[in-house]
Amino acid sequence: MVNFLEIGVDVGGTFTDIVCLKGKEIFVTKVNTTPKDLSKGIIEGVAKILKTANGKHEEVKRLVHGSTVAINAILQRKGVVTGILMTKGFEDMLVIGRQGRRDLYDLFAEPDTPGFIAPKRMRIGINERVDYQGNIIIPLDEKAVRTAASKLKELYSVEAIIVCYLFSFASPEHELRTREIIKQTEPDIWVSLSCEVDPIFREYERLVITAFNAYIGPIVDMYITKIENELNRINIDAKFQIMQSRGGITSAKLVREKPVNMIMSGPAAGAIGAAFVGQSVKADLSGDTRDNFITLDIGGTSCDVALIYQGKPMITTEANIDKYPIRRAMIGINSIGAGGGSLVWLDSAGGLKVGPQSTGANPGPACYGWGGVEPTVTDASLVLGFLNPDYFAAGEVKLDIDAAIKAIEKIAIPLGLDVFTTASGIHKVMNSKIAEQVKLVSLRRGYDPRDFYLVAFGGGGPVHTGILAKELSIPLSIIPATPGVLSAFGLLVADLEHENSRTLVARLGEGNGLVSKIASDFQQLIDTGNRQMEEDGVSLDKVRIRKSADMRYIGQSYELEITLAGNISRDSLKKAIKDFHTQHELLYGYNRLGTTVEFVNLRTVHYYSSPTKMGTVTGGKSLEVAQKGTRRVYFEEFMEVTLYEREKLPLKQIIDGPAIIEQPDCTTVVYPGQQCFVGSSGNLLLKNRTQQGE
Amino acid sequence: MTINPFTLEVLRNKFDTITEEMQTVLRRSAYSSIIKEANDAGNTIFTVKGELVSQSPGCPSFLGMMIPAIQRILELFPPTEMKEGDIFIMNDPYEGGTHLPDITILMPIIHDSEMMAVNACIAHQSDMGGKFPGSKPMDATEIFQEGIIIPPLKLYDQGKVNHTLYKILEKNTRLFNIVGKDIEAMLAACRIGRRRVLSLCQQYGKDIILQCMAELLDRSELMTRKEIERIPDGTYSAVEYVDHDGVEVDKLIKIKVSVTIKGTDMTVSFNGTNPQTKGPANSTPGSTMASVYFSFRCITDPFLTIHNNAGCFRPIKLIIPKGSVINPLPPAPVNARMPTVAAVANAFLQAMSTALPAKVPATSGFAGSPGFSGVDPLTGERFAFMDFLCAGVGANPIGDGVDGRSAVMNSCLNIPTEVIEMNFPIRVKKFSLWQDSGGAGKYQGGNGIIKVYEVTRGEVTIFHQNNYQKTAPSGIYGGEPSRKQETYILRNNGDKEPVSSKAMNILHAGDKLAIYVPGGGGFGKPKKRAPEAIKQDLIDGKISKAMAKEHYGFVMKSVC
Repeated sequence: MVNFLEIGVDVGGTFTDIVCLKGKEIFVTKVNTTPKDLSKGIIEGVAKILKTANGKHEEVKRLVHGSTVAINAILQRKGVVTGILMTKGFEDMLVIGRQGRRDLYDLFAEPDTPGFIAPKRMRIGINERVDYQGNIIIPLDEKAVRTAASKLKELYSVEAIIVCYLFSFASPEHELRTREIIKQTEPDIWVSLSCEVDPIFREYERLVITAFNAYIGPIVDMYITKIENELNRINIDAKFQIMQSRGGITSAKLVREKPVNMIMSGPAAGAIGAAFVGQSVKADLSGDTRDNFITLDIGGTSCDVALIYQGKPMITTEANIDKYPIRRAMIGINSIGAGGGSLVWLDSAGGLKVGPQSTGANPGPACYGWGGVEPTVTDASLVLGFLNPDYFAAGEVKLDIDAAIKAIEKIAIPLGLDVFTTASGIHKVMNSKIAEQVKLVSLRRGYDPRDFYLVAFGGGGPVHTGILAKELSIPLSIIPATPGVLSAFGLLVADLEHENSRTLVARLGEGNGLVSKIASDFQQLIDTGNRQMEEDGVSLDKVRIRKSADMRYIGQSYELEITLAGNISRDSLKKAIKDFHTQHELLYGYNRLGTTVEFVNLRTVHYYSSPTKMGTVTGGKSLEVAQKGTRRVYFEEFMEVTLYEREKLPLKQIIDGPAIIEQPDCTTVVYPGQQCFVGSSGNLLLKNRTQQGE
Repeated sequence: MTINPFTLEVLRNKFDTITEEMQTVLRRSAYSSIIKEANDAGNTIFTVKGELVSQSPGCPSFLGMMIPAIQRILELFPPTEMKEGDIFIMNDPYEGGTHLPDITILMPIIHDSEMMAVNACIAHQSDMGGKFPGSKPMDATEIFQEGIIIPPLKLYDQGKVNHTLYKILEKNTRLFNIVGKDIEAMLAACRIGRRRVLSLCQQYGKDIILQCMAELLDRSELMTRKEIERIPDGTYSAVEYVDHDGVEVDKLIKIKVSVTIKGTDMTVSFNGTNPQTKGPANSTPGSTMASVYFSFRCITDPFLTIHNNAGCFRPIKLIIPKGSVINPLPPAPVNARMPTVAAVANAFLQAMSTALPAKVPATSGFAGSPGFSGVDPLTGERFAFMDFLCAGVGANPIGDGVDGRSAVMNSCLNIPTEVIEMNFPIRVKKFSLWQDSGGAGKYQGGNGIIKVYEVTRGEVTIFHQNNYQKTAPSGIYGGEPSRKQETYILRNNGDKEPVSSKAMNILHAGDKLAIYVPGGGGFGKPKKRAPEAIKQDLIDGKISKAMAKEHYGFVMKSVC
């Protein structure tokens, strides 16, 4: 019998995590991330997991990848050199933007616009003009385009050119022609057109998303090609799929066409994995219908927090990356520079600071022994006794306690404190930073964290979650079976998704052709999605399609997205209008029955759920069998603490803290006064010790 | 009863989330571009005593600006007599308002038949009648020319709409089809706010809510006093100017401020400021207060670690002489108050730069606003809209000023060119940075902008409100001032007419309005500027060769 293998690969700042599903069996492993050439670590990890799973290369059916390559290029300002062609007179749009400022009271605030994408010398105005109805007022100056393309290439060696003309969504002709001309003169230049990336009005917002698409485009393209080649080289002929920001996966080919869709690829996978865990944990919470979770993904370089509300990761359509508007639906994830590799330092006033700079994988925390000497949070965790020096990252990395102590001393000595008090202080600073971040994504949006449970994952999540839950008054932390690789796991349980949209702007009752126009537009979107699904090798009878329309009252300029059920007919459109009034009332407290409603954009999303099923969890024999000795751990004072092997823990047997639970991909700290047990779902549930009568 | 610190933190954020949500509801459901695109509006929660609890982030000029209006309504209609379903409305500058286009709506929040708090919303309306479309006659000499005055009145009386008032408004405003809907959107914002506060009461109990409101105000006061205490005691003064009042165009208007710090108290006196003007440059107390409060918050708490509420203002004593340009007596006109309001903030900041040299930048450009109105021959429909410009930001002790941004008291967003052209007979020909407009210095002031509008069809009436044609935004610590403001009408026949900083005119198809907004002042002596920075600015055309030579003594052989 031929086995099918599915592999999820999540590349983090420090480790590359791999999960492999073989029937109902699940295998996990970690290898070091190889920052200079990420594909090296990926291939190494795939080879390693195949060995563990005893699988063959040709058995791999699909390989799903979550990547931070796009977001890192943006955050580190390491995108390609780009030039911008805009309608003449508007060359500075990238810098002026909407002219607002996020930090209203900060008189020294930095710009709120991404001027770094192309300095003024590389932004060139082209004489052309289209009016709002798509009529050409000034024909395209083709010679100017040619000259500009050559100048950008020769003087500045641009790799990509962004084209954003006014009203290109009304008539794309000038932008399309501009690309032809650029390709004639400079065929190797990557071109990003605003009429293709985001054909919606408001020129600054359209420019920004088009610009980021180009800024990261060649990097994503090269990256995917490299991985594909490497997979070929080791005889893996699997479907190569990539996580998109909105939480669904798609083929690598389609991501190449719109790389801006994968900005939040890496973090989105974690939220999807956490939502899956949230559903599975219900079996353990009898009578508790809470379906809200806050994800706490602490990796090597950052801490990502997302809300899962009523079972679903919260999607935002007004996301900002850094402070730049990206008009795309994506899972709302808040990321701060607080991870295991975050550097610890003293400010000029002697204040203890953690992050946001991180040592990353290279040279890594001091205790890794890879050449790092600066203290990090992981060094503090080791000094406190939370981590097992011989069992970190599945034993991949031997931790050097002396190096950690030496590094912490660099902070402890100037502070006049011992290393343990200092290490404990480092954790306090780190925890309060993360607690503030959780408040920001919950409280700031009007959600009370006390109505949520924490799902802790990433290498560091389970170390910190106990104390964070306490600080945030969150009653329960959930630690999945494979917390260190949950993002990789999320890749394998995510739906395949294709979103397509087009602008319409029409009013019901405006002539009889409208119903058939909307129907035929939807049919085209559906056909496109079907084609994409077929390209992904999915049989169409298993595909779900969601149709929706962005609608508004005539005269308004913000739309609500309304789902349309069934076939398009006069009745279904009337139903949509009725739903729009209801939704408007719900969100804004009033509606305007009788006012004309416009259909602005039509959208379809095609979904295909992979039939991934988890096996049943059996659990170990007894707590005694799971015990693996004791260790001195510092919780404000030294305590002799029992250590457990996570994989051998029996189901539903309570462990009282303080305790340390070790597993290959992470360590869970049960703080004094807390307790935990493994539920029938296989998740570890951690909470404050139950009080009498509660 | 002590308050659980966690509950306090939750409620503090809830209040802020509620006013933010009110703002979103207003913007999303409004019809005028001035609200939905430019965000010229504010939403608040007040206590029954008229103390500000929370305000949506948005226009700095709205911070605390509604306090006099809300207090006046609560004085005229005592909370004990307010009934479920009552809603109040006003725009009277002499009853706590600002200028006539700003309508304030107040909605009492009644819990168990007891009034517990107030939601209030303010938004700039497209027109309030008067002699000029948009209600911005730059040459008005009495408030009666500026539009219809609404004293504090009931818009709804126990759920019954005041038809009389609506009818009067309908007959006295030019764009009631838009104004009426925008008022409805304001009511929607207040209703959402009320619904959210009431559901908090259900969850936490009314007493906890009220206790937390009081506690938040006290804590903000305490924390603000600590910040004031860090400022060295003493009196600090400065003077700033507004070009003119639109009527007496040769008279500079002087704003004089003296700030006295003593322990944890701050007194801000405007003695010596110009008397009220004949033209509409006057700023009523609400606007003047907002300007002081906002700039004070900028230098004491730029990252908002102190909750932004009325407690922050308790340590400030304001002295605003009656009959002056910042506290006029009726019937002085007030519609063009913004340059005065900005000058108040700039004078205050300049005064404080002596006391807190590390916290105050050079003066930023004033981002004025042009207004356009007429009847579109294509549709036969009347229109009126205002665009908001941006300026260059003043340089600061750690770096150059930002180019092209709303600075200090300005914060409105521009109307996207595509939105303007889709809705009005106007085409934007150019919207770019203005070379050489920032002041030279060790750190250079940000560049201002050039924006050119062209009329595509019909006849369009314009107003122009700006500043710094006579003086320029000043530099600091040896930094140079920026360029002055310039505006022209470029007629279709080639004529070029200068436009003063408060003016009105008529344009026809093919005529253009070209506005040059100044940059910010420089910081530190120009000769201390790093040559590499000058070189980069030359390559990017931020400055010209002439400016490099004249102001920095820098010559570069070849520029790419």
